[in-house]
Amino acid sequence: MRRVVEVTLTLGALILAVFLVLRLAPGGPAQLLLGPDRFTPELEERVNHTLGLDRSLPEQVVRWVRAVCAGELGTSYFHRRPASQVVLERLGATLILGGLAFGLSLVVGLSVGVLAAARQGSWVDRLLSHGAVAVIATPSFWLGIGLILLGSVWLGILPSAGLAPIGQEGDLGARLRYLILPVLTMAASHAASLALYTRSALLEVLASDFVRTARAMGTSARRILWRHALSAAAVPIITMAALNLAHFLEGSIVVETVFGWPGIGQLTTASVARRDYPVLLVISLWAGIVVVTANLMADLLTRLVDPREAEE
Amino acid sequence: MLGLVSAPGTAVPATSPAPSRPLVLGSLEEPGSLSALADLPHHFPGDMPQTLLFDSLIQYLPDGSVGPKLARRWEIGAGGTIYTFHLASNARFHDGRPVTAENVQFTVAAARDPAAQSSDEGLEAVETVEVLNPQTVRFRLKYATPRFLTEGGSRGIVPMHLLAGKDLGRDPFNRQPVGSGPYRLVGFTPGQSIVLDAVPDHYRGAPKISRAVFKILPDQNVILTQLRAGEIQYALLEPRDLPVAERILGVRVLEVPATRFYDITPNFQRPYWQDRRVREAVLRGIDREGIVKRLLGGRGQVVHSNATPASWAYNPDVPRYPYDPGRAQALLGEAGWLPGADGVREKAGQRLGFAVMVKNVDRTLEQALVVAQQQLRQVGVEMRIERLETGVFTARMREGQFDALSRIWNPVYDPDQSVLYRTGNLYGGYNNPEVDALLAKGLTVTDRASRKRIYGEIQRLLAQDVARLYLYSENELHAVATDLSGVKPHPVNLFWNLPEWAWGR
Repeated sequence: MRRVVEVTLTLGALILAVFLVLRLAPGGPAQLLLGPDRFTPELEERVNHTLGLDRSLPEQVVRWVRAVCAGELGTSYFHRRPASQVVLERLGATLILGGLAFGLSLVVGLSVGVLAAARQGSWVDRLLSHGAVAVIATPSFWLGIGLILLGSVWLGILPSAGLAPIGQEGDLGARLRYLILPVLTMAASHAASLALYTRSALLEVLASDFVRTARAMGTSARRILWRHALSAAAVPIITMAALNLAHFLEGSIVVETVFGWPGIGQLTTASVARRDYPVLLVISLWAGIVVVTANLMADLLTRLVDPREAEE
Repeated sequence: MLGLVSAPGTAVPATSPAPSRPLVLGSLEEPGSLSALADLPHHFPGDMPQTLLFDSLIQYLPDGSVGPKLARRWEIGAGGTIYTFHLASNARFHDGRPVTAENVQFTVAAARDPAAQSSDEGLEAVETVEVLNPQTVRFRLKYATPRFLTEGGSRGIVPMHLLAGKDLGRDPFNRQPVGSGPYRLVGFTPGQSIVLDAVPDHYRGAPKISRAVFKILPDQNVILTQLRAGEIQYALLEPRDLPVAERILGVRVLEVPATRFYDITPNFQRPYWQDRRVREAVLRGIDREGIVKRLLGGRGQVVHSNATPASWAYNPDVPRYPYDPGRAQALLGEAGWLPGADGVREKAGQRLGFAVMVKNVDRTLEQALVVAQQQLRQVGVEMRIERLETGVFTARMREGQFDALSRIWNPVYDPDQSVLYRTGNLYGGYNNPEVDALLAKGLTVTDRASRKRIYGEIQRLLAQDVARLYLYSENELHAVATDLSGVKPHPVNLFWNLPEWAWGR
């Protein structure tokens, strides 16, 4: 129950902040909607009145919150359709991209981290750790453009942009080819940071007393690593992965712009330029829910893995 | 939600003569609403779907005159205040219902309803719309205006039976429109593509290409890549794309002089701009010929007033101010601005410096301003360039928070630019009673020859006054596949005759 109240308050504060920040940005939708050459104060007033932007800011907030509670998320100024519908149409693309990238980063990040920790100090460890640092240091737009250059321009084997070939949206194989580059770009830095994190968490556990005891009792190195050390290191790793999930939202803005991927990230950039407040509010609401849910899930998972957490 | 309704191959209607290759157009811009109520269709690729989905009463022809579309013919009476249109009897919406006078009446009412968040361009003067019979509709205007037929008549007609009583600002129609145009919508994937199929039994005849696809691409480099790969057969180019585009086999570049142009708009609130000599000196301090030659690769022309040679109202005979740094310096000296310690001119302790704002998306313009900046420095004028995001730019323009601004002006459909030049305008605040009178007169006279004289005189006055620092006009560059025939340039909307486009050289 306390969690629910906390979550509601967090979301409320988030929405209020977004509302205010959007209004602080200079310019408004009327000027952009009307187009640059038809601009007169009378027309602007007319549009602002229709959009309800001529009311005071507190009044606008109250009206919006009231509408949201009634399940009404507003109308996109640019698309002239319900904002929730505009966002929903794009959500699928982002979920596919983000989901696959998150999955890939978990698998690769954990394996690399475990491998590096198991071979601590060897050339494998050095190679993997330094590689991971290099990947983290590479901005994702740069990596994305590099991959396009390699895969689409030089090798010419992968499409550079888009969701699927036009007319073949139903063809799974064709769609997968379009996913390769953006998923790689998005997963790379998260996989790398998770790998480094896993490595250091494992090394810490491997240096602890109970591992030494286990070794002394003749438990095999493999069993120590996979069964005892990994489960002891699980709590921080899960927390890290959940935090990463929030960063995926942020990453989608860059990656989707580079690859022309028609998801939420691209919609966000475009809607900021268009001052499409209702769409941006729906996106923030949605992003807030994802982040809060991810943290909640991480909490639950840690309790499952480590019963001590539940008692606190 | 509307997905892609049909797979390729199965989509060509059974009545179509022969399936032909789809035509794919590349675009950077995704249209927001596809409804004809949103806006008048213009030149940009983003307006292509609306142009093809909706027919309007008339069509604006390449020479700026008006031809029939939904209206087969019309009469104009009472000194240009009554228009009676006779509709084609066999025109139908894509759902089979006939296009009647009632739909015209409904469209006008809807476009003017603030709740539709629609533009009402060209319809401002309409007083009443009367349905005389299903095929005849009569407009009464409050005053005669030339913009009614060209702009008001270009408004796509929407079906009343699908929209009456609906919330036009958010109806699904805006995404799944039904019009009476030569193509109908079969698929829309947000951020990706819009697929249109030909209407084989269209009242103006069947389009030659059975499927037209509008493909949304993330940036201009991708557009060039797609052109090279033959994945798109049309795209709008920028001058800097030419070296690449011209080497692509199978693509030709169609060059069309445009009605749009760029200028530097001075804010007349600033005392230094109020001196005509300063304006002339700054203009003479910029090598506009050089900018056109080098930056645009010669694909454009210097403009001397607020119309380009592409406009029917163009007046070639206006005062011109060619590049002349010596004359510029003399003029500034005459005006009392003398060189200071660092070379920038000063008067009464004030430096002759100003900031010009430019939108961060106008990249070629920004380069032109950098050239101008260096040249102005030679004559002792310090110009600073402020790159702004569009929303910020527009807000500051509205509030008058600028020394000067530089941007594109786009007089489409009509040479009238009263909003920009009449006294009290929000675009720098130029005022000249003589120009005011002519601007007002130009909007009441409907005959082309008299209007040409009026707008010619306005151009002369503006140039004589150096009302703006007119820079240049870029020719439009359209990349078109060489095996596509029938593409005819048009000053307002290149896609006006797309149904006539065909495969074959």
